[in-house]
Amino acid sequence: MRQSNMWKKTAACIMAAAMTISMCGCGNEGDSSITDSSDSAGGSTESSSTESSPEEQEQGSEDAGTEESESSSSEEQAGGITYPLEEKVHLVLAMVDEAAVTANAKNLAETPFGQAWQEATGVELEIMQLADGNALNLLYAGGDLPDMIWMVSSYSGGAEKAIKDKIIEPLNDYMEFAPDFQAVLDSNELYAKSCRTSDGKIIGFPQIDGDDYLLTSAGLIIRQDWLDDLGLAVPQTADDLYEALKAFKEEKGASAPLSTTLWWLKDIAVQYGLFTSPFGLARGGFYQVDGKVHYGYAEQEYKDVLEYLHKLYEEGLLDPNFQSVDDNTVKANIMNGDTGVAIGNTGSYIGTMLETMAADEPDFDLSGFGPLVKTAGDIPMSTHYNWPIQNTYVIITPNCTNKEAAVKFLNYGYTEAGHMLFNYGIEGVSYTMENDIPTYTDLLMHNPDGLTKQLAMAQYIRAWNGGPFIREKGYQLQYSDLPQQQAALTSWSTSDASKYQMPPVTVSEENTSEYSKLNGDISTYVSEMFVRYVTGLESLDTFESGYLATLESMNVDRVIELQQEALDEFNSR
Amino acid sequence: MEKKKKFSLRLLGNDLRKYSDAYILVIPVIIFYLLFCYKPMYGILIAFKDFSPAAGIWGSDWTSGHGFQHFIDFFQSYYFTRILKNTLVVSLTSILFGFPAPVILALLLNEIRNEKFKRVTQTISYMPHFISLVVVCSMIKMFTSDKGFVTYLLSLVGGPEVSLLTKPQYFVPVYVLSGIWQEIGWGAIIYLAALSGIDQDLYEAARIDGAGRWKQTLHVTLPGISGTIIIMLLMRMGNVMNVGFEKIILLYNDGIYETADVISTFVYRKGLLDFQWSYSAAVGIFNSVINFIVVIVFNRISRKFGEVSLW
Repeated sequence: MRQSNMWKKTAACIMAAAMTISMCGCGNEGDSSITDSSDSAGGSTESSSTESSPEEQEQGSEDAGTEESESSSSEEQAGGITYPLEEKVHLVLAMVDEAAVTANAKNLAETPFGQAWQEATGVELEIMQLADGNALNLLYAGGDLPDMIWMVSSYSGGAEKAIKDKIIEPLNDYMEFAPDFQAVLDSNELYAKSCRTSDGKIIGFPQIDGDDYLLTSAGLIIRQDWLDDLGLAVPQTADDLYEALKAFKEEKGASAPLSTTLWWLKDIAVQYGLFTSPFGLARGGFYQVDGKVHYGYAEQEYKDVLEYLHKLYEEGLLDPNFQSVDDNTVKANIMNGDTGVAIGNTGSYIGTMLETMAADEPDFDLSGFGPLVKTAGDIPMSTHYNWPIQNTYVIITPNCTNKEAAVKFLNYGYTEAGHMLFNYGIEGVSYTMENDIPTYTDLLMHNPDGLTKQLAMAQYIRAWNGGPFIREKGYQLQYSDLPQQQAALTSWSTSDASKYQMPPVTVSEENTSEYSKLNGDISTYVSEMFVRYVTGLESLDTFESGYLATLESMNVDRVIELQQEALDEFNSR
Repeated sequence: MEKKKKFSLRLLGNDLRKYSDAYILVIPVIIFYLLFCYKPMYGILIAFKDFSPAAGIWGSDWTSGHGFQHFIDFFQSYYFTRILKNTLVVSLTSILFGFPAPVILALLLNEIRNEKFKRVTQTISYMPHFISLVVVCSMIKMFTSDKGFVTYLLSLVGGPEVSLLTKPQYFVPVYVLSGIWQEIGWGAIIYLAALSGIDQDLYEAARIDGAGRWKQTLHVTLPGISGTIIIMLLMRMGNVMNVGFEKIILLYNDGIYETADVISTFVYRKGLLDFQWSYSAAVGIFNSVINFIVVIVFNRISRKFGEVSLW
C-alpha cells in the first residue's frame, strides 16, 4: 500500500542521502525528460531558474586579450598561488550528470580534462554525481553538503537565500587565496557586480562568457534549400515568416511547417523575444525600459503575439504536437521534409542536421534567421541574449573541509594556465598553437573513434559546457565552424537586447519567500495560458477580462515591484 | 467473534515467553516500520514551519497563523479547487473503471477451458505491467499523437485527428484507459488465485439445481471471491487521493493542466522545482489526511454492510 506523500518525500531525502554514499544516481528519469528539454547534454534545469539558457551545451568564450593578460600579470605581482599546491587535499565536488561527459568516462574527474586539472592543482578531486537537477535540489534540502557544488541553475530564492540557508559560503573572507579570480573581478565592473549579492557577498566562482559573441546561441532556423527552390528571401517580418510557412506547406508538402517543442517556443522564442518585436513587445518575462521593469507576459502587446501564433496554429503552420514533441522529433521532422522552420542552436540543431544529411541529401541546407522585426531592415528589440555571468557557479559550502584549498583549486580556472586548460585542453593533445592561435586537434574536431565534436570536447575541455573560468570566443569559432553556423550566430546576435535585458538581479532576502510563492503561481499560469491561447482552447477575447485580470489578482504588480527594487539595487552597486 | 482479552503487561509478558521465537522473527519488521515509516513522520513538522536546511527541521521558525500559514495559503490559492477537483476526478474515474476490469478479466479467464489459450492470454495481458513507466508513457504519447494509431482508430469513427494529450478533455480517458491496459492482467492474478480456492462441489450442486454458466458465475463464483474484492477495494480507496503522479508528470503538459494537474504533481512542482519545501509539505499532508478519512469511512461502511473489513 502506498504511503503518504510526506513519506514519499522523506523517502526521497533518504534516497538522496543514499545517492551521496553510493553515488549511483537513480533519480527520477521521468522528470528529467520533462524538465530538461534543452536537448542532449548538460544538466540544465531551466524550470527553477529565472532565465533559461539553451546554450549550456554549446557556447564558447573569449576575452583572452584583456582579462587574461591581466589575470596572469596579477598572478605574478600578487605572488599568486603556486600550483600544484603543496599540501595533499581531497575535495568532493557535487555536480549534475552531464550526459556528454559520462558517455565516455565515469565522471568529470576521470576525464583527461579532470586528470589534468587535478595534476595541475595537486588536488585529489572526487565527484559526487547527481542524476539530475532534482537530485541537486534534494541535496540542498538534505543539508549534508559536500565541499563544493557545481550549480547549474540559480537557487530558488536567489543566492542571498542560499547563503542564509547555509548552502553557500560567501568568498569574501577567502579572496586572498583567489588572486586571479580577484583580478578578473577588478578588471570588469559588470563581472564584479554580477557575482555579488545585494549586501556585497561574493557568491562563488562563475562561468564568465568573455565575449559578446558568446552571449547569443539560439534562434530561428529555416530550410535554406527550400527558400532557394521557391525563390523566397530569408524572412524578416512576421508576415514574411507566415508567407514562407504557407509556401512550405503548399509547395513543399510540409505537414508541420514550423515544428518546435514547447520549451523552445515559449521559454526561448517568446521569452527572449524572437517573435515579439513585430508587435512592439521587447520580450516575454521581465525586462527593463530605461530602468523601469516590465513583465512582458502582462503587457497588452503580448496579445498580438499570441494572436499571431494562434493564427499559425489554426492554419496548420505550427506543429499541432508542439506541446508533446521532443528535440529529436523536431530534427527528424526537418530532415524528413515535414518541417521547414524550427527554433534551435548552432550545435545540436544546425550542426547535427547538416552533418547527418550531408551524405544522403547534398542539397539540404539550413540557415539561421530572425529575430523577426516589424519592417524589413529594422533592428529587433531583443534576441536570445544572456549576461556574461548567468547562473552557473561553482560554490564552496559552509561544510567544506578545507576552504582555503578549495578556493585555490577553483581559482585555477582563472589563471593563465587554467584558462588554456579549460578552453582548449592539453597542448599537443587537444590543441596546438597555429600562428599563435590555439587550434583544436583532430582528436576533438574529427575524432578517430568517431565521437562527435561535443562528445570529444566533453572529455578534454570545459568550454563546451562552462565552468569556473572565462570562456573564449575561439571555442565557439571552432566548434561552430560551418559557414551556416557562423552566419546564423551573426543574424541571431544582431539586436538591441542589451537595452532591455534584465541584469542578473537578486530579490532581497527578506522578500524571497513572498516572491517565489507569487512568481511560482504566476509563471505556471502564464505557461498554461500561453498554450491555451495558442491552441485556441481559450479565445483571445478573454485576454483582458480573463487573463490580465487573473494576473492582477495573482498580484503580478507586486512581483514587478520586487523586481524593480532588485534592479534599482543592482544599478546602485 | 471471540471475546477480546483485555490488554495487560502481564499477558504480554506471558505471550513473549510463550512465543519468543515468533517475536524475534517480527523484530526486523518492527524496526523497518519504525525506521522508515514512523521516524520520517517527524519531518511533517516542516509543514508548520518555514523550513531552512541550515536551521534543520527543529530549528526552523514556525510560520505565522499559529503554524498554519502554508495551509491557509493553499486553501486560498488560485489552484486549490482545481487540483482538488482533478485529483478526485482522475482517481474516482480510475477506480470506477479500473477496479472492476481485472475482476471481469479474471472471471472471463476462469471460463476458458483451453489451458494453453488461457496461459497465453494471461501472459500477454500482464506484460505491460513489467514495462518501465517511462517507456509505457512514451508509448502512450506516441499512440495518441496526431499520427498515432489510437488517434487513427478514433478518427475512423469521427474522432478528431489531433494529439489527444493536447486536449484537456481527453486527458482523463487516456489516463484511465491506459491504466487499465497496464494493470488489468496483473490485477487479475489475485482474483484468479481466489477463484481457484472455490469449492468445486458448489459448482456441481449449482449445476444439479439447473444453473447455467451465467447463473453459476453470479451465485457461486462472485460470492466466492467477494471477500477478496472488498479487501482490494478498501485498499484502493485508501489511496483515493494518491493518483499515480509519476505517470501524470510523464504525460501532462502546460496546456492540459486544467484537467491533469493533481495534488501530487502540484506538490512535486512546488517542493522540488520551486524549493518551497514547507508549502509543499503542507499540501502533501492535506492529501494524506483526506486519504486517511476516506479509508476510515469506507472501512466503517464495509463493516456495517458486509463481514469484511481491514480492521
